Amino acid sequence: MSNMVIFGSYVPLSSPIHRLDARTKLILCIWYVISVFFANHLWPALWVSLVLLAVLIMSRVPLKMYWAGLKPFLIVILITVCLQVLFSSGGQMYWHFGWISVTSDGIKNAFLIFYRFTVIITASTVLTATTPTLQLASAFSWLIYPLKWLKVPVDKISLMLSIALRFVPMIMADIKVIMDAQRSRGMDFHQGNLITRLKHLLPVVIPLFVNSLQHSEDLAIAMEARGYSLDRQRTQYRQLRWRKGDNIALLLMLVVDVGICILNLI
Amino acid sequence: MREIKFNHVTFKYPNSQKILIDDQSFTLPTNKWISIVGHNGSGKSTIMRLLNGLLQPNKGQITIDNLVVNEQNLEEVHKLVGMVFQNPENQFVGSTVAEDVAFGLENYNVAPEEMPMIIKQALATVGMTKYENSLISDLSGGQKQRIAIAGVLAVRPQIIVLDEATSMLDPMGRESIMKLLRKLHDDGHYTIIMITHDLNEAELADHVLVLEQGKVLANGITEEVLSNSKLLKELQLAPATGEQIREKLISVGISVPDKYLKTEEMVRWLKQKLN
Repeated sequence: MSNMVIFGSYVPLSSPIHRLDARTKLILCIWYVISVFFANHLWPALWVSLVLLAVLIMSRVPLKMYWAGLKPFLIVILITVCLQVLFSSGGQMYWHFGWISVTSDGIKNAFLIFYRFTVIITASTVLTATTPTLQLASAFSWLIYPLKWLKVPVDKISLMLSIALRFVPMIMADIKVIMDAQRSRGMDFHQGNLITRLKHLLPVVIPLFVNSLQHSEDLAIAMEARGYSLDRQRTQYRQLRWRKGDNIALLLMLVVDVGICILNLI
Repeated sequence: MREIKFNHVTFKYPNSQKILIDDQSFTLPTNKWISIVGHNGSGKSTIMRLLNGLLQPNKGQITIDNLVVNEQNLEEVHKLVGMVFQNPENQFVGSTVAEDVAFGLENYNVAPEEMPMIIKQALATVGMTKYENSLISDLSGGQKQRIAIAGVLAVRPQIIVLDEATSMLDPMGRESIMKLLRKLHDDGHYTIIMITHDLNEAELADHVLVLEQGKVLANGITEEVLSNSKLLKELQLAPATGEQIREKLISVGISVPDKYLKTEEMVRWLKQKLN
């Protein structure tokens, strides 16, 4: 097993979460993300976080792997949090310098953003870590099936999604190799101000882009050679099966929402 | 199946002046192991992509027995000619072994209830049964290529093309693939076409085709083609180990058989001499 779960990586284990139907997991993930936006105070937010922690434990994927998966996003989250703290107004003002100020509302909003980003990314990681990509694509295809009536190419979109998910770990590995290659030639990615650091990323982005194009071209050729055609009907190896556990999981999510409503009133 | 025939085939990409395959006609035997050797850009991969129908010739015709390789027969051609590519990372669609082996079956509308048995059989053939539910990303390069071969075998092709499929593997991975190819060849059901730069691999075949700048320079049984040291030197292809030993022995005045010896044959000959 890989020592890091990143968005898009599946971890083959046997757990109650793994056993759920991919459609249930996809619905629950979307439902959970929406619910997170209704948990705007401390107690509902804590409740939503505890529910997620319970799901993480039930998935049997080691917590440190989820943490490793969240780490790459932390820098983006922290930048957003800092911007929120420095540029929000309202509430009690603690400090200000020109048009920059730190206020009580700004700090509250920053915490809220930090919490939302963290739980949403982690919940999405649970979905991809416990569901094989092709099953996830089938579930997505099922979910957007009504769009077929509007002539939307549902099957193609879902396969595209599954391939995109499969490419994420590959692209992350590419980034590491390219950065190591640049470091070995004297590049210091941690030196200089923000602009300089962004400029240093340019020699990473260009080869990454070229590599990604190469990967996608090779994969397209391999898929065609294996009989994939945009116009042909396909069968599916993994059949999605709705079980009693899926009904129970959806009911439990309803309980989570009732909990949010009650805690919002406190 | 009796023969694979290229008849005055010419190919160049649209908007390109460079002719990659230049009016070539040749025949390849079937149910044999065939090696295609030549430099980078000599047209080896292009020839095989034409055979699989991934590319269509600008002129000429390719036939596999009576089946013409063209856009009308693509499904049949893809089914008949399976391909394994160079980079194991770039040819998988599924995240687990079973899902990926199933990809070809899904494309050919095989009933889902038949798939588990076919997948098991394909994995057993390549010796990867216990990895059925493993993540592909957790496998070694050699194992990934064996899974790629299983994906091809699952749709029961008659021709298996390996496009430099061992060039990115370590020696162990390379050896495991060569052993597997030997096994498939001995089964007698498949025509194996292997594109390679390595004459040690090429000499394991029954038949060799040499390409240079889109032209076939040699096409015949392995010993006949690889004994043409003048041609191989012109193409700067390093001879196989057995041939290198033979040349060294000749250079120090030791009498050796006046015919091409594959490395294994050379070892046997040396052993006999030393005894």
